[in-house]
Parts: sequence; structure tokens; C-alpha cells
Amino acid sequence: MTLLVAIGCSAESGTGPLAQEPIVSPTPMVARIETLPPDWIVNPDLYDQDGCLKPPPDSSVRVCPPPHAPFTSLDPNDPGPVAGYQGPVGDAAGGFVRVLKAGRPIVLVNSLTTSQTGPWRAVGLVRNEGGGTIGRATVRAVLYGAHGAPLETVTGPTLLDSIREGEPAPFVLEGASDASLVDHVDWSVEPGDLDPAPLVRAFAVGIDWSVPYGNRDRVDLDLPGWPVDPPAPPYPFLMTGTVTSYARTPVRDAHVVVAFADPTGRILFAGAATMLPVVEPIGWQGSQGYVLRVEDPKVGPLLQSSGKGGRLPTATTYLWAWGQEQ
Amino acid sequence: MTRLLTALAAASLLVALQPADARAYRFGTTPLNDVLYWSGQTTKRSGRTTNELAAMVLAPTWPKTGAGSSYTPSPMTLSRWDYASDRLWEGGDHRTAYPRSFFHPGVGMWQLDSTGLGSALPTWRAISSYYAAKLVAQRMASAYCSSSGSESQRRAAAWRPWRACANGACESIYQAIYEPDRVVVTADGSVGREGGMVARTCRYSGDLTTFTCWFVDPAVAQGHKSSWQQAPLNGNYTAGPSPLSYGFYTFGFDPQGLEWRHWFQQDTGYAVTSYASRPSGKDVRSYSLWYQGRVLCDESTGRGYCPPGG
Repeated sequence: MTLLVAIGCSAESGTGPLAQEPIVSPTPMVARIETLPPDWIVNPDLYDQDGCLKPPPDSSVRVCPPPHAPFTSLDPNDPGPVAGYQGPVGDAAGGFVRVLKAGRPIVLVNSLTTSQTGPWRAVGLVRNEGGGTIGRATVRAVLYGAHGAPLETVTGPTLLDSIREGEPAPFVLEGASDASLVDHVDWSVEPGDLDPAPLVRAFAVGIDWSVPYGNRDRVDLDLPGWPVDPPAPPYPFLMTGTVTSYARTPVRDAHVVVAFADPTGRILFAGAATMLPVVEPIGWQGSQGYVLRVEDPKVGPLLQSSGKGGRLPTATTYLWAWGQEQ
Repeated sequence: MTRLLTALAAASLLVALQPADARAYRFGTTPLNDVLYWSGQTTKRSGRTTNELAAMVLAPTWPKTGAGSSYTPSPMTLSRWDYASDRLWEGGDHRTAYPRSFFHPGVGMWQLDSTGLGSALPTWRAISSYYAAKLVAQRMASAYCSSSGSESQRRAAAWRPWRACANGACESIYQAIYEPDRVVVTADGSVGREGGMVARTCRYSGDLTTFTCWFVDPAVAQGHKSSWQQAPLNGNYTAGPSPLSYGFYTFGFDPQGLEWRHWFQQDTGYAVTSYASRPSGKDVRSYSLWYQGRVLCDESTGRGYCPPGG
């Protein structure tokens, strides 16, 4: 019953730039990863003192947890349900990792997508493989022309305010050089503040549904902050989801950042979602919606095929969520 | 418990007092009591009355299950329109020879999905109206409470996670079923809390420790079935729908945080017994792991692999 009162309406290191080749630390560190609380913490009213689910009224079925399956075990590198993140895990997948091989933040070169024509543009991921949370990192790309002459140095921040140990973080860089003249790029990343202001990451973040770019039915939700579809197609790709707080103190200014990758792991899009307005800080198990709209006719159709896959993106999806203590 | 039973008795009374109304939406009797009970428990959060919140909680179930206004939503409803992720298919490959060993990601009357609201709910709890209604009532109350705008906009905020509620669909249902002193719903005694899912006693083969497992057989689902049991039952990876699963056993989460579904040869008629896991908090489309082999015994019926002596 305490739970009910607590919720709702009345509530209530890194050392500088890193070259493209990661430096492999001799004894890899293991990331400390914040995971989401188990159900008996979230719903204590459902459980008895033995950790079993109490039967519903008019039922006699008391359900205790089944034993550990004897024939399998989780990948020891799987970080589990990471708070404030949903997406790929593991080194090969360009995801969250438990083992910090490089000892520093690195650019994940396999995640990079660069423009081939027009102004040079890149989108991709860095990953903090150093010990400790860092502030917003700065990604640096030095562009070279055909004969090795430097064309431009482009820098830009990651889209996360802070990056935890093992966590990937997206970035978008936009330069002035003609992309067709760029022969190669040297990448590096500088960690941000080594002692960043603490952020609340105790969020479950998920996708509720999405609709594809192009010629689809119009979607109209009579909600403050909800983007209105244009009067005629092509309609944008739309995705909406929910963040749910498991922080013990109310949280304000929740943020969600989204990235999509193609089947090879190259990032197609990265950007901040629009948070739907709330009238009060989010308490324990309180939630806030978000919506992402992608109008780019080159990217939108890549995120969800209109003829395949149902109601969710077909591209691999990364979600990050954070907020600040009230 | 006394308070609980009192609330349930009141809820039952609300249902019983409703006159027969051919226009009324239909809902299982015990599931309706569950919705009313949890709505009553959650009113502090939303500032809504029990009936207001219950009508909100009920509204998405008819469009989400395809039951429309004429039929009773089935608690066992399994999603058919998520089919393009190989990890949902047996062995993690849509070219499998065993298509109806299929891991439906959306489950139950609210189609709680492992990528969204159902992420931390095992299959059997997403089917049970008792557990599913608790989650939905809490989430809707929270969303309503924290949103701004008119009352209808705040309801729209509570329904936002259900795509089927867009374009005013759930507001129309809400207006049809809500009255201040009751929820205008015809109670259907033929649809129970688990919608035909049954509790069994299972053990791993070679282990004497027994535990509760649940047998989910779409063939005996209660309530509306035709819109989620339509052909082709083997599915179509290119254009949908997904396969419709044969009966399967499910349980979890276990101490590793895994939920399991097992498809016995005896139920599928296939050459193999398959099983798959999903970690709590993670989307089955990305995190299912598939296995083949006989490792589970339904102790209640002697089905599965039940070697003597454990």
C-alpha cells in the first residue's frame, strides 16, 4: 500500500583524444551497470514473504519462481536490463558492453555512416570504454582530400548528457566540405567532464508503436505536443514510446534519444525525441510519453517498411533515457 | 483481503445491476471484476472514480483484440501482425520447418508487448486479466494524472501507447461505456480470467523440483478468436500475418530473469520439441534464444519428457 501512496498525482575518465585504433588495456575493466529493479520491488503488494505471487482472489494458484533452467545460462557479457537504455548489447553489435576493452571512449567505426555527396555529414556511435561516467563527449573528424591534404576538422558533441561505463552514445557531425572530395577521415573522441553532474538513469524505456514513412493512414492523437501529420502523403515516420521511472525521488526534464541502425550496424539516424508534456515531476513508476518524427525522405523509408513487419521499426533501434532529480 | 473481497463484491454488483443491452460492449465477468478492482485501487493516482478509470482501462481491449463492439475480448489473444523479426520464429529463422512454434510478442487483451508496456511481464501474467489489469490501470492512471489539457486529451494521453486508440477510437468507446454510476458492459461468464490458459505443475526432466507452469492453447481460447486466429496459420513472413502458435507451455521469470515458452512434439506434431527464452525487460525480437530438445515435464498430465525418478 505504501507503493500506491508513493506514486502519481498526489506525489509526490578519460585522458584526451583517442586515435581510431583503440588502445587495449592489459586487464580489461568490467563496467558497473545499473539495472532495472525486479518485479518484487516494483509490485511488492503482489508477493508473499516467500517471494511467491499471492493468488488472486477466488484463485488458489500461488506461483513461485521456477528454478534456474539447468541447460542454459546467460551470456556473462550480457549486462541485463540496463536502466535508461534499450538496444543492442555486446561489442560486435555496437551495443552496451560489460567488458571495457579499450580503457577509454572510442569511436565505433563500424557504426559510421557518412554522406557521399553534398555537404559532408556523419552519424555514428562512440562507446565509453573507460572507467566511470563521463560528460557529453566531443567527436572530432579530420577530413582529408585525395592527396592527403586536410580539408576540414569537424567536431560535435554526443547526444547524451553523460555516458556511463560501457554505454554507446550517438552523434551527428555536419561539415562544410563537399563530401565527394573527402578521401579519408581520422576519427577521435574526447571525453567530456570526468565528474559530470549526476543524472537519473533509472528509467525503463520502450517503444509502444510506430508507423512508416510514406503513404499510410493519417495518425491523429488529440494530445498537447503531438505532431500533426501533414494534410497529404508522404507522411513522416512516427514512433512513440514511454519512459517509466524507477527512481526513488521524483524526476524532472526527462529526455529520450533514439538511433536506428541498418542490419550491418551502421547508424541511419540519431536524434532527440520530443517529450510529451507533463504537469509534474515523474514519481516512482510514473511515466512520460515521447514521440519521434522523421521527415527526411532519404532516411524515413529505411526505418520501417510499410509492407513488412507490423507496427514497429524494422531498423535496429537504440533508446536512451535520462532525467534530473527534482 | 477483506478490503479486496469487498471491492470485488461491489464490482460484481455493478456488473449484475446492468440491464441486458444488445448494444453494450461485452467483457468477461471475472476480467471485468479485475479491471474494476484495480481501477478502484488506483483512483488515488488518477483522481478519477473507479468507473471512469475502469472505462478507460477497458476501452483499448476491443480494438486491440479485434473483438469490436459485438464480441468479448479474449485474454489469450496473441499478436499476428509482428512477423518480420526472425527471432520470433522457431530457431530464430523464418524459414523454419516448424512455423507454428512461434513466439508471439504481443499478448492478452491489451496486447502487452515485450518492447513496450509488457517488457517486464511474463506471458502468463500478460494473459491473466488480474495481473494485466493492474499494470494497465496503474499506467493509465499515471499518464492521465501527469498530462495536461482537456479531460479527453488527458484520456488520449493515457491511451497513447495503444495505436488502435488513435483517431478517437477509444474516446468513442469510452463515451459508449462510461456512466457515472456504472460501466455499461455486458458481463460474459464464458470468458474467464485466463481465457482458457490453464495452470499445470511442471518440472525439468532430471530434476524433482516442481513449479507452476501455464499451458496456452489457442485452440481452446475463450472469447473472440476469429480476428487473431485467421489463416494462413503457418504465417507469411513477407506480407503477414505471423503464424498462429500451437499450444505451448510458459513460465517465468526464473532466477536468471528469463521467461520460457516450450512447444511439445505432442502438441505441434512436429519432429522436434522446441523452446525459447526472453529476458525480463528486453524485447523478444532482439533477445530470444531458441533451443531444441525435450527438457520439460508436465507432471500434471505426464506429458513432455518425464523420465521416472526425476
